Formats: sequence, structure tokens, C-alpha cells
Amino acid sequence: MKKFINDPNDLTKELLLGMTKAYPSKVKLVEEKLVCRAVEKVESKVAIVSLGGTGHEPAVQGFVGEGMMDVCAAGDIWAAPGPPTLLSALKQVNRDAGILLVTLNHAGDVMSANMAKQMAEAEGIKVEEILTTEEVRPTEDEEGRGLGGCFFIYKICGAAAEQGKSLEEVSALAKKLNENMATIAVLSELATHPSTGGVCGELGENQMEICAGQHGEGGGVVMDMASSKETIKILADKLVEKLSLKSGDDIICIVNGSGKTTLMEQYIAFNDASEYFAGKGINIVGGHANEVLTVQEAGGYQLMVLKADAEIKALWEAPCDTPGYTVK
Amino acid sequence: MSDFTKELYIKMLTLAADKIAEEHEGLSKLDAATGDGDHGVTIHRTMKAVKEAAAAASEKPLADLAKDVAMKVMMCDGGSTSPLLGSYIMGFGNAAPADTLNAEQTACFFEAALTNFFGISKAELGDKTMMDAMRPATETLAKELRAGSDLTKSFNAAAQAAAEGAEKTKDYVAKFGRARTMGERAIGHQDAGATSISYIWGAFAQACNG
Repeated sequence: MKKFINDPNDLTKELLLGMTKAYPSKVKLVEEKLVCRAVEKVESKVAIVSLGGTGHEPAVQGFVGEGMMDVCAAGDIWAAPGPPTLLSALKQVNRDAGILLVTLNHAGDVMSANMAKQMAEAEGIKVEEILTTEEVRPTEDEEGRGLGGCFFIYKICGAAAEQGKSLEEVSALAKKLNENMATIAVLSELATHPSTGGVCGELGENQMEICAGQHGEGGGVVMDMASSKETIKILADKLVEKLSLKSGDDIICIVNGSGKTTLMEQYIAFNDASEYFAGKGINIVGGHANEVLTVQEAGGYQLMVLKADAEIKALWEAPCDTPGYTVK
Repeated sequence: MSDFTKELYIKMLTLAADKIAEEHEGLSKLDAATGDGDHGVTIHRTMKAVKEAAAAASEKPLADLAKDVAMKVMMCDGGSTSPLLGSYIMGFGNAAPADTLNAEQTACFFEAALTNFFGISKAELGDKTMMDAMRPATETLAKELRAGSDLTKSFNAAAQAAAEGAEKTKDYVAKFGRARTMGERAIGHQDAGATSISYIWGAFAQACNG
């Protein structure tokens, strides 16, 4: 492993310090693990809180800021924060307007969120939770994990909260987004765990894995490497099927690089995706091609699609200002 | 040995932390086969906190000591390991009427921890998780203690059951955690979490052995 790091035990601490020092007008660090907005949102508006392991930068803590998330409880490398850290995050923005808690469907995150939510409710904190499950799995009976799709929730629910929508409305919107979004991952090279240097998973030299999930946990479909155009067709076919997309539908499409795959490749993939969807009469009304949720030096990307109506489209275009994503 | 004491409990937790410190690299390698390869890192960090918190709270009553340890574990930010082991140890804190426990109280002490653990884990036997070592170990311990076996014999039998339970996870398809998406491909790989739990029970037995 060749990484510019210091003590492997201090990766999370140092990266959070670095991120908040790099963007002091957007975010600040509270209690070592809580990334908060530099300028707090007024209490009359719903707060958006999320949790997650680190080592996925810019996700998830990089989406704290105006127009997106209010507080993020960071864990450690690829590991969810414990319930007390998340409880602190919820207390940080406790308000009568309520809190939307965004949890990605991974075992540790779900357990921590359940415990923290119970503790928060016992203290009278008003919380609604959305569990993101948008990952496309090889077979239909498998429950999907939460991959990069949390980004859609942060952005769009964040904008709705900023407009003064109620917790009921923001929560209903989050459910609608989770039902109308889908993400599929392709992995071409394995990540190493930055604390241990251990390689995660197995993959042949000239192979790629479809439905690879987040960290290279395995369980996807392994096949020979293919061109960008061929790969996009494999991935996008699955998304179209999952969301029952048809000619005339509007979508927001994101190519989310996993870490090693270059921006050049992500743009090529986006071009191929846009030609693919145009060929089916599906309109891309919003797009993004860049790293959203990475896994260290994993090769590959997540293709993310959200079926968009007028409400979603307007909220997608609303301004936001975070270390990881800005709309003016 | 007949009565279970607070001192023995602290010794058990300390030896368990030492065992995990020795084995954590191997545990990460086991986890890399079916998960994301960091189980050794998180369990090591968690058990280090257990050892430190137990030492810091050694003067407190057993129930308060266990609750202190549990809170420190949950604050480790170690993915699923924090809530799982945190609630397990919190369970001890709910079932410690005194600092010295008789056989029946000791059985109840460990059963209460298992109940709390199950409340978070929700895993059944055969799901290829920590539960595959935790449940047989606890049930064996309680059975031996209630049959009149002394602590040493009971904990040795429990450790044996934990090791067998961990070994059996090689035959299972995972239903939880990151390994669950591997389906049949997980067969042949021993679950890292169950292996950790078997090491911990091995250390519990070692603490009784002298």
C-alpha cells in the first residue's frame, strides 16, 4: 500500500480536521466526529442528519452544508459510528420542526441508527428515518444496500427542508425518492483498507464485477472487462428494468467514480449513458459525473438514476454549498 | 472455583482483549474473504476499549462497571461491532445483583447478555454471524452451571461450544452483514465475527483456568 498517511489509527480524525479546515465557510467540526454546517439553519426548518463510515470521501460527511445536510455523524474507516455519536448529532439539531435521519442500508449503520433513534425519542427528539435501499442486486429477492443514492436524498430533501417544508412532507419526499432511484455498481479493481493495507475481495486481472456493492464484498456477477459503451448497456438495462423506465420519462443521471477510475472515464461513461437513454427516448434532465461516494482506490463506478417529476427537478436545481457538491 | 466474582469478570474481559490483540490481523484476513476486511480492526479497537474501561471502573459495583464498559464500546464507532458488543455488555449490567454471583446468578448474568445481544443482532443460528458462537457458548455455560459443574468446567465447555459454533459457520450461507450478498460463495469461509466470539469465550475459560 502506498498512501500518504500518518498514524493509521488517526485517519478519520485527521481527514475530518482537514476537510473542515479546507472549507471553513461551509463546515465545522464539533466533538471530533460531528461535521456540522458552518452557519446553522434556522430552527423553524427541518434538519437533515446522516451517519456513515469514513474513507468514502466526499461521502457522506462532505455533503454537509447549506441546502443539503445539517449534521453528519462520522464513524471510522468503512465503519458506522456507534449509537452515542449519532445521538449527539441528533441532539445537535434538536428542534420542534423535526429531523430527517438518512440511514444507508448496511448492518452497522442500521443497528446504530435504530439504537440512537430509540434513545433520541426517549428524550423527546422528533425524528423520522429514511433507510436507503436503492442498490440493484443480481436477483430480485435480495434487499439492496444503500449506495450513492443517499446523495439524491441529501440534495433534494435538503432543498425541500431549506424551503420550509414540514417533516411530514420531507419524509414523504424521501420515501418517494428511495422508490424512484436505483444504483448499480461495477468494480474493476479492488480497494485496500487504508488502516490495514489488506485488499478487499478477489477479482481477476481482466475481470469486472457487476452489482459489486460498496466495498468489494463480492456477490456480484463477474465477467470479462468490456468497453465503456458495453458496460453502460449492461448497467443501464438493469436500472431501466428496476425503475420500469419508458420513453418520455425524465431522469437525473449520475456517474459516481469509485476512486481509481478517472474523470476522463467518468465523462466517457456519462456520454455513453446519455446516448443509451436517448436511444430509449428517456430524457436526462439533470446530471453529474464525478466522485460522490468512493471506496479508496477501487476501480469502477456507480451508475445512479432517479426518475424525476417537476418537483424533484426543481429541488435538484436549487442552490447548495457543501465541500462535496455546490449548485449556484 | 465456585462463585463468579467481579475480579474474575475483569480478568475475563482483559484476557479476551489480549487474545483479540494477538489475532486481529488474522481476523481481518478472514473478513476480507466475505466482507470488507476490517473486522480485525474494529474488534481490536472495541476490545481495547473494553479492557481500558474495565480497569478504569474496577472499583465500581459489577453492574455499573459493565454499564461503563458498554458505553465505551458503543462510543468506538466500529460499525456493527459497537452496537452488538455494546448491547451484549449492557446486558451484563442489567443482571448483576451483586459483585459475587452464585451458579444460578452467573447463568442468568450471561443469559441476560445474550438476550440483549439478540435484541440488536436478530440473527438466528446458521446465519453465519457472531451468534453462531455466542448462543451455543451461553447455552452450554448455563446448562453446565445448572447441572452443578464448577466454573472452570462450565466455561471450558462453553469455550468448546463457541469454537465448534464458529467452525460450523464454514458450512453456512450468510444472511446478515456484507457477506449476505455472496450467497453460496460464502460457503467454506469461516465467519470472522463468530471467530472473534470464540476467541473471547476461549479467554473467558482461560481466566478460570488460572
